[in-house]
Amino acid sequence: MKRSLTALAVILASQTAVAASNAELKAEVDALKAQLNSLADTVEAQTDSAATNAVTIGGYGKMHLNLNNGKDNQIDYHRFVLFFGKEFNERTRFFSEFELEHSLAGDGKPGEVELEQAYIEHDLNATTSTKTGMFLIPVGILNETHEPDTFYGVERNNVEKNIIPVTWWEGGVALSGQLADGVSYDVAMHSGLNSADGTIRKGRQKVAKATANKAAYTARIKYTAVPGLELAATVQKQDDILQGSGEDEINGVLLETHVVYQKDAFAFRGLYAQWNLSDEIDDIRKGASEQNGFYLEPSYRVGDVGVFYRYSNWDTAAAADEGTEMVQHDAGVNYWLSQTVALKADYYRQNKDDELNATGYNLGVGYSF
Amino acid sequence: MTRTRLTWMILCLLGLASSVPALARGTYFTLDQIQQEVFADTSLAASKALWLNAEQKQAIASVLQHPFHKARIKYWRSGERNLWVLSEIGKEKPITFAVITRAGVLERIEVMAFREVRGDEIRMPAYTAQFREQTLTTEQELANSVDGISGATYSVRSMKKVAKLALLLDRWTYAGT
Repeated sequence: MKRSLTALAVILASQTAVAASNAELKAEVDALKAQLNSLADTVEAQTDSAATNAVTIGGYGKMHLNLNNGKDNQIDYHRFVLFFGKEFNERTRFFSEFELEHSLAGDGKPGEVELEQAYIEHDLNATTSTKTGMFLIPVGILNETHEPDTFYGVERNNVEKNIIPVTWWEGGVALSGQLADGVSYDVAMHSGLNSADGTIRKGRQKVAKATANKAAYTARIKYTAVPGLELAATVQKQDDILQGSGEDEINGVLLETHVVYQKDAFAFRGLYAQWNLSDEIDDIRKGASEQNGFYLEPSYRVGDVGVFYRYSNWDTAAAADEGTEMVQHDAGVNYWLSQTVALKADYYRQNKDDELNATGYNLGVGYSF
Repeated sequence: MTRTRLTWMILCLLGLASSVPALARGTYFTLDQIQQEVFADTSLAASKALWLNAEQKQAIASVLQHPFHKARIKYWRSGERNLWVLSEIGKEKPITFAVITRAGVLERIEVMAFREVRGDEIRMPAYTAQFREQTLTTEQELANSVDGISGATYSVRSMKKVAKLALLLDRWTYAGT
């Protein structure tokens, strides 16, 4: 009996010791967990801090090979672009776009070094911001979003290039805001075109010691409330595209509207743009008082491969019947190596006044980051 | 009235009109608000930490398409539902999302804080509704297609990555229980 009681006492004592040991172990494990969590908090806080203080750098670029039927082929590093941005505080930031075109710039060289954007953006409130400086005109599909991996075709489409004309930037002040969910607006007062013969593309002064006697005004409204859909319309008024140098003022109005739609693998882009200039410009270049164009572009993408067709029609002297109407068919493929890097190939056929004007193949590589 | 004066007046009027609440940068949901909406009784929502091993970090990096260096991810659980608060860079700034998952299915996703200059259309209910009932395929892709938003490509990509990440994390919480 005495032996049994002794044995029982020993067992009870050892169980108590084990329980105390387990409690100590649990306390130690809990303490270790707390220390690990604290360490992880510290490391993550340092990583987050480093991520938000940096100046931002981005860019895009494109090289192409034009295989032109009946003319010299050409290979060209068409664009090498760098973006620099800096956030000064929560409401004020700087953004810029710096570009080298065609690899070599200088006297007698084929390229250009250009500053395409440089502006200070300041938030007036949660839904409204201003831009002061040099900015892209809010018009068209490509003018503000033209990184090579974001569109089909090796070259930018000729309607936006010749009628709008992409890429187009001016100096001035802009106000952007949101009127309701998915409804945004942009209004701007900025420098104007300077074109002696009404050729819009040649009239871009690029804010380079630009003549600023006559201003221009742009307004755009955009609707993006339905997933996959963008509808937009822009109107612009040019006070005088001769910048006061002519006997008469040549004023102009640009109207542009477009739709972008994407549903599953299918996408569609459609755009129409027209210029109406004062009739007096027809004495300088026949038909220039009306210039217009449109394009339709369905596409289909599965995974990393997309195919497209584009029908383009434009005329930079539409007020006269001088055989200046251009029609172009493009068809091709993009293959995305990553989300923002694409290999491109396309075939084009261009008619002028119903006669074959140019045809060939293009190959290209483009990226953005 | 001169055209210039008229232009400035219109600009000012539009500036005032823009004081109407609409999509914009800002914080839209706090953690407390999301928890109150998701969990009927917030006291039941236990905060947990999913500690990640090397293989899991690799899988996350594959979904996010960039390196992932966090050691653990915090989440809240009530019953079968998990609430994840995850941030992912849009174009330049992080967007913070709340994602609710349940047994491998995405129930709901919301933008808690949007810090980019543009692309905030992803907050719209018409857009976030596309993510309901999403699951993850064996290739770690979302099972149903999601239409994009023109002009908000980076925000859309960010949201898709976070949706995939939340479903992957959800899978691991069940594997561990």
